[in-house]
Amino acid sequence: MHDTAVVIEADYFDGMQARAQPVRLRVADGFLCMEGSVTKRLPLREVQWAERTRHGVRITVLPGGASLQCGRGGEWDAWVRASGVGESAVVRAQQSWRAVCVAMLAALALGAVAYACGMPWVARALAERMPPSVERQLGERVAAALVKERWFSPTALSEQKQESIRHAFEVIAQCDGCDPASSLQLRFHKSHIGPNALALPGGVVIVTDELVELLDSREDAIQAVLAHELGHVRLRHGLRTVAQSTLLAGGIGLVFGDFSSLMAAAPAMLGQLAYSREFEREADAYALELIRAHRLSAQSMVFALQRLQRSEHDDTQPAALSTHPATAERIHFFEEAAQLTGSPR
Amino acid sequence: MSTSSELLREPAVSGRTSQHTPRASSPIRFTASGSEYFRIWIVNLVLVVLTLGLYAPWARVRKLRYFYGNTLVLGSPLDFHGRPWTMLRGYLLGGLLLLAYSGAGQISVGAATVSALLLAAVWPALARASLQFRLSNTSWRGLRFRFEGSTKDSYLAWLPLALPFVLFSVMQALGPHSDHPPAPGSYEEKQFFAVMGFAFLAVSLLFPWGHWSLKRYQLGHMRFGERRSEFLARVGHFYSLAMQTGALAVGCIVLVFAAVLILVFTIKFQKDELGMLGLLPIAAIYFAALVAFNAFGTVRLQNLVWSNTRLPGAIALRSELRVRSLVWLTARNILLMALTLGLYWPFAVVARARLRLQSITVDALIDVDDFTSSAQLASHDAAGDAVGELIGIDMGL
Repeated sequence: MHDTAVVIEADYFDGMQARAQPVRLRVADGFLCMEGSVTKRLPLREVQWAERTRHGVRITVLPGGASLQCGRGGEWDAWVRASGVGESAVVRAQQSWRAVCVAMLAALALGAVAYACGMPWVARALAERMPPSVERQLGERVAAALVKERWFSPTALSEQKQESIRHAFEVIAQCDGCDPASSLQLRFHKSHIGPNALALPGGVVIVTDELVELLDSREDAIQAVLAHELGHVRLRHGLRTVAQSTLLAGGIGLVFGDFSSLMAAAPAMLGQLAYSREFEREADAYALELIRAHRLSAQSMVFALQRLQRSEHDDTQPAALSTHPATAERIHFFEEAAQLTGSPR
Repeated sequence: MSTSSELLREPAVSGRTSQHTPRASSPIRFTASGSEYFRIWIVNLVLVVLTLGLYAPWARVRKLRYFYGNTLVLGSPLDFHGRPWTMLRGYLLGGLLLLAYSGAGQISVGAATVSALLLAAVWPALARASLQFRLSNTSWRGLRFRFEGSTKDSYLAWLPLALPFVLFSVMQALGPHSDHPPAPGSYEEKQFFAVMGFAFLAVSLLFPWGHWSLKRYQLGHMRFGERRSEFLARVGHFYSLAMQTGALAVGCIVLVFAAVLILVFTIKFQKDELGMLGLLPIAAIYFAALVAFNAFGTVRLQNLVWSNTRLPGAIALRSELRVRSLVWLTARNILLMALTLGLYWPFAVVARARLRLQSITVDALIDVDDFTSSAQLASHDAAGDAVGELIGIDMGL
């Protein structure tokens, strides 16, 4: 060990009185030796050394509530090093700009991986393990809230029209290895949000009167839209949205600790919207599969999307602030698919 | 700002503490640096992410020790002694509670109400444990602080805020059921809105009282050495502050509305399709109003609370933070954080802490060396408070 020990002066506080007692310190034979107004010999493993920083008073905690303080940080660090006391890798990393740069890149990479793969994966795993009854209850609550908030009012469609759309829905819902159509529920509502279709967790699909009108009751187009909504239902997008947004908010909270809520809300919202656009793409891909399985044409979806595009007043919203991918992009996706398979109808 | 030498030369003008001449008086000094905290933050952040959050207590202890060790009160730093393993238990408990609470909210209104009421029932006890943990793990010149508020007092202190909260939860559960929404304009609907309106009014009226009783509980039960702290602010101060803040809020809303109207009209007259760009000035004005409003509340509250907290006959504090300073600092911090995609965050935290801490002046009425902790208290400190030490709840109140 270091017998020709270096000496440093520090203040000793005994934990009983606030008076500082000047002492001289040195490390020898595995002991911290104190001389001056207090004389002590403490085994090194009982000493809780101050971590090295550039700023701040070094406070070393001793057993029994006593402590040593040294305001001359640089001098203290040099003495500790000369005395052969080691420090943790974390402390070394904190004081090296090279390690800090590596940490910064690692943080960015980890964040990107967690956002792009980790959180969606966990959310899917959670959604798959959720009992269907919980999902159904969640869906019913959303449905009730939509009616209560007066987004929806009772439908004005004739019984006959409802019946024929319901039949078309049951046809398109059938596929190999899917849940039976009995777990699904199609509902019609007059709405204040214009032509739209919604899929709620648990299998409730809502179609607005305005959508049926917009598509001129063209059954194949309505079927295509319903296939997209079925994608949301069967890929459990409702539950996954809840899980992903919770994970995202938690993750951002972890990074910024006691963060300002305003500053944290913006990235959380942008991230959530990007997830939402991803789900729309997934549902479109699922719809295409269903359309093909039933030997329908992807042109039906192109028709529906073009009608929707025309009905929207402005499509000038920036992409990052939108819940759906641009309609033009979606039309392109289905047109390409239609060209690939030809028109089997 | 008066330095210690000025005060010593002119003992007659030492203001509120006229009976006692301060032995020493100096503003708190905060010596942390943004770049150093950035290094600590980013390294610990990676470790927290790699361990899926389990390293968070170690990161927290490191942050607190860095901030405390750089907070010089009459020339001596504070220190934090919390043990990460203890705090991990508190983190896990907190996470569990949060998960149960938000999970219940997703299932049904009934479950949400029950879990909200349960949480409200244990909250004051948790808050007390947190205060105990934080203070009994804080030291200055080798002496530990302690928190001596009782559990019963904690429940009493939270009562004014808990009442409207409980009322709200019950109302929501008893309110018109979502399966049968009341017809628009029906008696049930009017009744529902009347009750909700009453609950909202009750919250607004009770809030300053609740806020005051909480601060009195927190700051009136601290022990340092052989002295117990006193909280001198009265409930009237909190009502007057709430009214000023409310008036400012109304002013801000009027300002934002006026700005929106002016913008809407000018755009209309120019027949200009500005789209999203037209919203930008509105967002900027809204943001500025929000910053000013927040800063006003923070500054006035800090000055009120800390200038009225003292260790009788030993330590008196004066907080002289100015609204203007905090507004500018906040605007700067937000701008730089947006420009650096959040990487400026640690610098912002340090700058804000520096401004807030350095505006507090500490007057010592006795020689700081004369603080002592009796042997009995010291041994009690070492044993620690059962609840606080067992689970290490740290809510950072």
